[in-house]
Amino acid sequence: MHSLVTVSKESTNPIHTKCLEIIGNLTRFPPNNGVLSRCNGVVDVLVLAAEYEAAVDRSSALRALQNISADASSKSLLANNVVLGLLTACSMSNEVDEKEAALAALLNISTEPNAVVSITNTNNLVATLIHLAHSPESSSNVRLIACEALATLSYWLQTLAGKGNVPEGIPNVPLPSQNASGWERWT
Amino acid sequence: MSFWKTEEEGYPAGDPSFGDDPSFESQEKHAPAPRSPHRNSRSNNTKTGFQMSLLRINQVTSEMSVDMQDILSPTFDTDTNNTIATAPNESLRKSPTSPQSSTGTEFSFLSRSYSSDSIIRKVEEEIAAARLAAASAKSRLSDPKIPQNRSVFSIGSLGSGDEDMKTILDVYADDNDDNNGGGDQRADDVNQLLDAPRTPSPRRFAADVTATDVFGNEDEDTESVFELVYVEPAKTNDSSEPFFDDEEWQVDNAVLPAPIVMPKFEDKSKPLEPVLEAAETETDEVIDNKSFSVELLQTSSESTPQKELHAGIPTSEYGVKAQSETAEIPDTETKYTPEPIEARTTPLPDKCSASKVSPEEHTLEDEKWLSDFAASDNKLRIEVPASPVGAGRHAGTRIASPSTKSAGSSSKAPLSPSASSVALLSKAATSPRKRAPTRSLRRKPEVMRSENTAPVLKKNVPIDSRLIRFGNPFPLLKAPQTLRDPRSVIDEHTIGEAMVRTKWTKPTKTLKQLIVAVMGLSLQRRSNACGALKVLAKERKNQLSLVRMDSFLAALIFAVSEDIAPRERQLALDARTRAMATLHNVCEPKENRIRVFTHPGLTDCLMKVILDDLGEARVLATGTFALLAKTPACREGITQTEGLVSLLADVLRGVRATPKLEPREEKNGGDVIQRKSTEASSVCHSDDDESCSDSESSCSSDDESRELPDAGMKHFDSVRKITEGMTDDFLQRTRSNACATVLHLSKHCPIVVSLQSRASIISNPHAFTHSIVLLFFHHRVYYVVVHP
Repeated sequence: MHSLVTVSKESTNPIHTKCLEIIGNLTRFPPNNGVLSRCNGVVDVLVLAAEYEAAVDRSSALRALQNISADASSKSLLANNVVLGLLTACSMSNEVDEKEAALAALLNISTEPNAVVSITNTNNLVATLIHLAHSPESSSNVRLIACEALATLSYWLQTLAGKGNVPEGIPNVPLPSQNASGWERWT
Repeated sequence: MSFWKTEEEGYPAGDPSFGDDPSFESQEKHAPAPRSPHRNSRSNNTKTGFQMSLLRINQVTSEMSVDMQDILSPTFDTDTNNTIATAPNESLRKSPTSPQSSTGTEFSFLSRSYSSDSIIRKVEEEIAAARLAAASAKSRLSDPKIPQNRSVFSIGSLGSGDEDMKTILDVYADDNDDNNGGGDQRADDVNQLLDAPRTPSPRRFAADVTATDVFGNEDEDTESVFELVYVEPAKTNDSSEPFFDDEEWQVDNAVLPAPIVMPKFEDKSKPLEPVLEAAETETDEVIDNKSFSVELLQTSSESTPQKELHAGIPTSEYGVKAQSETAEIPDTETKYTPEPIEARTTPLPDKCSASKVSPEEHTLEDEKWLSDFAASDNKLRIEVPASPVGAGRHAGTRIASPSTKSAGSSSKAPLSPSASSVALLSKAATSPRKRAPTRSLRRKPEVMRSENTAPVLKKNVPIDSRLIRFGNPFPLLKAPQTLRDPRSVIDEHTIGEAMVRTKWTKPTKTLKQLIVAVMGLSLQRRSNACGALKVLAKERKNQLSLVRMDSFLAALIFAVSEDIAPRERQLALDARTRAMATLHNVCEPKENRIRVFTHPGLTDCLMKVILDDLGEARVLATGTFALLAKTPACREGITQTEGLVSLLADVLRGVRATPKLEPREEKNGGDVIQRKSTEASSVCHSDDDESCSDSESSCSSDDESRELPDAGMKHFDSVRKITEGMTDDFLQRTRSNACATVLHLSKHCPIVVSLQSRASIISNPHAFTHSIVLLFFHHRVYYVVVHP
């Protein structure tokens, strides 16, 4: 893997494309993803390759990230601003394959409850999802994935909200109450 | 038909002002219930509590109280059968509220839940009084005798679905006196007002109540308006219909921190009789513990959007469940039983109206009164001049004087100190002159929450009842799709070892000579023979036949795996390269790959070339692996080869080979060179006559040829230099072939990548020295250490 990672970084070497493809093939076997996500430099090189000029490289890298993000134990590792920011940017790509791969990876990461904070902290991520979910230029598959990601995020947010207790003195009204609060308002 | 009356003090027995009221006369016949000493003591105690969440106190100035109609009118809603209480007074809102203050009589004005018989009686009295006061309510407001600087308490009572009720108590409290000496004066004023002859129509009585009295804050001496406006209920006996409309009971949180929702009494089946019995036999406090809550209706302009916001929320879900959890009173009684969480709404007893009357009791006068009531802005007000705290307290005490002790219920529990105003109102309802004949008031509002005071939770309420609830929660997620067992996946994609049944053919005579030459000791002849086979193997037809020829592959493998002598290194390299090229050519057809790969010693010789050679042979060796890896049946065998994957990884990374020198050649270098030079000369003659001269001169070792300043040697060296100059190209091509090999291998499913000493690698990323590729093949695990 170290050799693959090393060669994949050689953007001037033509074989780096094949190395990315090899990594992508390795991620096709689900038990490999948990190992690959923890392998030093694999995620980094994939993130790096997702910004290469060659569309094949970007596609391979994003597909590999998609497969890795499908692993339950790897979602938390991918829930960082670097990966999420990359996926957010690639979600707006003109290439259909890249867009779908990046969006699917975001969906996979969003299924991790621990990733909610990171996702919400990532710039433009939610906005991108909303845009893709409602953009007429998006394909039906992209819309569906975006909507599912938003629904998943909202589910976790609601779950987080539902774990709280209503303080004493506050009526336990069903949420959202949509009540506005003010401070010493002259009403 | 019965109505509320706030206090008996305003209507002494035999008051001619009530003589013309038949309903009053009928109620006069009832024996006055003995007043509870406890109630008297509570009356003396101005600290009695009042749940501010149910009353909205409008602190008004004198100018505001002049225009009281404008103040009170927004609270009235003819479409709702609700009691509206407003308490905008900020200071009053800050008043502490004792949970015990919300006793049975305190909130009988606000709800239909009443428990005490004394309250019932008082209610009857108040209703009778209110009927008379309804006609003159408006005129009373404009009465110049009433002090302008006052606080107005407009209190209305609720009516149940099967009753008609209208009672509004307006309390005008002056705000002129201070806490020290103003109390008595205020009490006197109140008495004067109460004792003053009244016109028959206005059923107005005064109560000396101030905001501080109500909320137990003696420091506050402000003008306040209590509005408890009860809207005429629907004249229906259908108790199944919910009495309150939740949408109409909206609260503006800007005024009230949180709404207390009027319950939607859905659980009509809940028995009321035990409560009734408790109310009759024991005290009001028993009933005090019954849950009850009322959502206030915001009278300001913001109430409308609030309703709109809540419109989308199911009313029963939104309003009902919220009230019981927040609005409650710490029960001091033992008979309190918390209601189940599922049924958090406290059912409003269908018989719990103070003005509960049968439909037959409705008379024409009642109807007339109703019309008058509607004409008078649907409010009956009982006005009491405002008084300071002390006065209010004193007045409250006087109102609840022992002279009026006739309430039937006796409370053993101590009275709440902060329910002065409610106590005042409750005392009015427990007038000894008029005994309530009914048992309708069985429950009282349990919870009256001050705006700034957190209500006390019910006892025995589970903790989880305080969990946040959602109006429209998401459904539970499905269980994630479980992955298949990796072994089953591997088994599914495993091809298995290819079984090749080779029928070897005998080579022709010429080919046999070539094979013998390849396997001979003469490097020159071997090199020439390998060259001949290389040319033959370029054609596809020959490729298929040569592979099936006996000893052909064995001869090539021998030539490739032969060690390289230092003195005849070039000849050996040439022979190896040519043999390697022949192998590469015969591996191009897919039909030959399995035969080639399954030949013994092939992988070892190829790996040796990759490790030792630096030139074209290495390129061809990796290329041969790449060709073999294209066949799925060969992939698993390649991965089984120990050290092959790591070797390919090294080549992929660009690690150069390290040639080895044979010690045997070092010892007998002279003899070997001499022997091989003769063989080479013969091979050269046999291969190519044109190159013979050059080959003869090059029979010696490379070092020797470089040392000789011969022209032919220079030519030979130039070719070698060209070849040596292609080292980088060879390396790149080798890496490409290795990458292709790994790529083909990676397309095979049963390859599991694992890491050795994962923990150490994670703890120290720089310690990543090698990885292990685990290979599953036929349920056997193979691993290859991949060195970086």
